[in-house]
Amino acid sequence: MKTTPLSFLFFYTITIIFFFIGLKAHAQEDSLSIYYYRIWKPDSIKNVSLDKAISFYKRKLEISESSNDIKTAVYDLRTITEGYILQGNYFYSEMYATRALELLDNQPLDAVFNAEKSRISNELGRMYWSLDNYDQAIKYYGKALELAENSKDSISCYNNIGLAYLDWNRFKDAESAFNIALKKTIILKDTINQWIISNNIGFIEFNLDKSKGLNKMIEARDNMLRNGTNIRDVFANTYYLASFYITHKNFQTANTYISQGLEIANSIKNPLFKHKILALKAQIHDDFHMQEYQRLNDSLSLAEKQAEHKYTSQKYNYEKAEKERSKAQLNSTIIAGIASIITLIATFSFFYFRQRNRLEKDRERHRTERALSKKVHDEVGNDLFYLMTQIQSSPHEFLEQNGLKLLDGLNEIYGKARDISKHYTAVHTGPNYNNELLSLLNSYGSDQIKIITNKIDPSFWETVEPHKKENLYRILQELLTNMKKHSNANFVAVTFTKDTENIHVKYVDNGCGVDLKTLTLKNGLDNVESRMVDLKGSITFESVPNKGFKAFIKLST
Amino acid sequence: MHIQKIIIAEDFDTSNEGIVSKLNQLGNPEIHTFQTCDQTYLKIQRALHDGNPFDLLISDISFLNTNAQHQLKSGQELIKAAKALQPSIKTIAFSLLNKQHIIKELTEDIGVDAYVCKSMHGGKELVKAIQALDTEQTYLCPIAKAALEQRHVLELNDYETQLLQLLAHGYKQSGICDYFKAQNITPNSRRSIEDHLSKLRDHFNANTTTQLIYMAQSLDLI
Repeated sequence: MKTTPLSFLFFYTITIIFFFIGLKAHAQEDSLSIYYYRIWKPDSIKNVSLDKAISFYKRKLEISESSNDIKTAVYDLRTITEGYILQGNYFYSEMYATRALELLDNQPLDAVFNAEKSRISNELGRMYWSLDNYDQAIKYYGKALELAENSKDSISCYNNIGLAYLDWNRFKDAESAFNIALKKTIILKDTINQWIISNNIGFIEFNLDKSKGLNKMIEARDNMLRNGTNIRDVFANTYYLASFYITHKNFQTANTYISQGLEIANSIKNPLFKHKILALKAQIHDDFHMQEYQRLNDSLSLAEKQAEHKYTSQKYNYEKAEKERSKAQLNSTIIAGIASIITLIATFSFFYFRQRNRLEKDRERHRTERALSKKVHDEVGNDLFYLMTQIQSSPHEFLEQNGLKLLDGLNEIYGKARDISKHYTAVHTGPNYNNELLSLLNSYGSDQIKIITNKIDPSFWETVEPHKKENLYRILQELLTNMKKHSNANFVAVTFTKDTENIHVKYVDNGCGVDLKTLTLKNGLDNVESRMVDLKGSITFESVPNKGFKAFIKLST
Repeated sequence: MHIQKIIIAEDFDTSNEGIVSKLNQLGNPEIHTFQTCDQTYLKIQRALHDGNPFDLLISDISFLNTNAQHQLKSGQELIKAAKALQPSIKTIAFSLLNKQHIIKELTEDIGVDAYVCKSMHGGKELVKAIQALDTEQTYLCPIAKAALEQRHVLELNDYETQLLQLLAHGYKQSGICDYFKAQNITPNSRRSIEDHLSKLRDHFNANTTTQLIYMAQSLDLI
């Protein structure tokens, strides 16, 4: 049975390595060490909430910042970062780490600041690691390594790099990183870390070749126990060994280690550890249902983790621009940022204008529908009703001469219905446009109403866009309708002229005219002015009561 | 009567019934009705192939029920296609539409034999049209004729506008005559100028030239 490396184990290993560094530097300064322990040594204190600890450090940060105590401020920021990492709140941990790095960038070269930078890079590496972004994690561990103040710090950096490669399943790379770390521990005579790393190397060997690694892990275990290594590292070793024996089907020995692992998990009250070690126990029992449960559990938690990562990564990416401090990367991020803002604005505008356009179209359609229904009612419905009442009062009169009067009445209504349909049919805007206009003018003329226009060249309308032609047609139609209904005119002149930029249409009638001051435009003329503005043209009216009515239309070609 | 076999393309049943009952007055010709142009065309083709061709096609112009699959989408297309297939067939366009350019297109370009507008007297006019076609004549119903002639609209051309302008500037007819000759504008004979003026006076309902100029000026034409 294959055991997969689990990052949660190593997560704590690293905290502990840094814990020692942090403890030495700051334990005495911190009057409320309970919060310090809550963050940097989470197993020791359980009855204090992480939120409280974080907000304590935020208040502390304000004080250090206002007193310009950079070192303490950076330390506070790092502690907050760690607190948020423990909480799994990578977005905020990222934010505080960035703030710390910015603060440090503005400081003169200093060994202490450099060490802090290294530690913060390490925190960022851990954050990426927790997000399974091993590539980035290793990059930040590398930065931490460059800035490492001493060999002890670099040991933990190498160890972290090794662990990231381990989780990435790049065992060879992991092995070489661990080997460097191991050499350093031997030189420094750092026995505790020596056996922690040795234990990791043993697990790598086992992963590379299932028969190997056991001796190293057992040796590491003996030494860890003898040297009083942190119980979490012992747990990691116990877990490794249990995995080894399960793979080799030595379930009895595996069970012994599992029991020890459970004991440790219980003693530090860590449910994650307990869950993981019980998962190994489930593998031993050859029970089909148990294994099915385990398989499902694994896939479900994987899915959950991935979903969560997606979310945190997104949150995190949002602030990416702040994080990339190298100039070239900053620039490209800014460009990417601007591009995405432009895309965003473009998308918004697209939807906004499409929506507005749709609303405008809807309004236009409703207006047309209202006008149409009003016309049908007023002109067709009313006339039919009138005809019906007339027939009821004197039926005989209507039926004389084979119903001539009845037929005349019906014909009149029929004509109106036809006019309405004509009014709403499409206008030909092609080469026949001029003929359309002439038909229009002619249809409003009669023996009493003479219409005069000027003969124009067939190419006159060629340069005008179709929608402008259609609009002009409708406008003239409205003007002529108004003329016929209200003006009592018997002469109408509609002339078309053209200069280099515009087409000018002049409408003149000799009707009763209107007082423009009291004129309320109706019947489609109400929106003619705004429609003309939309078409980059204009329309102006000129009229004096009893002196006719004039309209001047300008349209760009 | 020569016309004995008639095919009708008309998308509304009610119109079909009206036409058929009217046409039956013409000595019971054989009448077939179809609701799309394509069906009608196929039927004409079939009848021609069977050696029993149609004498007359009566077609509407706009068909509401056409879709993308239809090859012939309008009365114009059907009439054109039918004439190409069977040049001897007589055709009548029978429509609500009384737009000049449509009537012009059908009578001048497509060569329809008659154009009848649907109106109160539509049925009667249709019978008149068939009778005219039977004697190898063409026919336009009064509504179509009025629309085609566009009697109610006058298109002033440049010549007429110039004529009016010269009058407004105080030129007498003889002066205009000389001016046109000098400018090489034709026609410039005294007679033709008088004809044009008379026509304009008619249209403007003016008894005198002074009245004509007054009208033209008040309409901003000059």
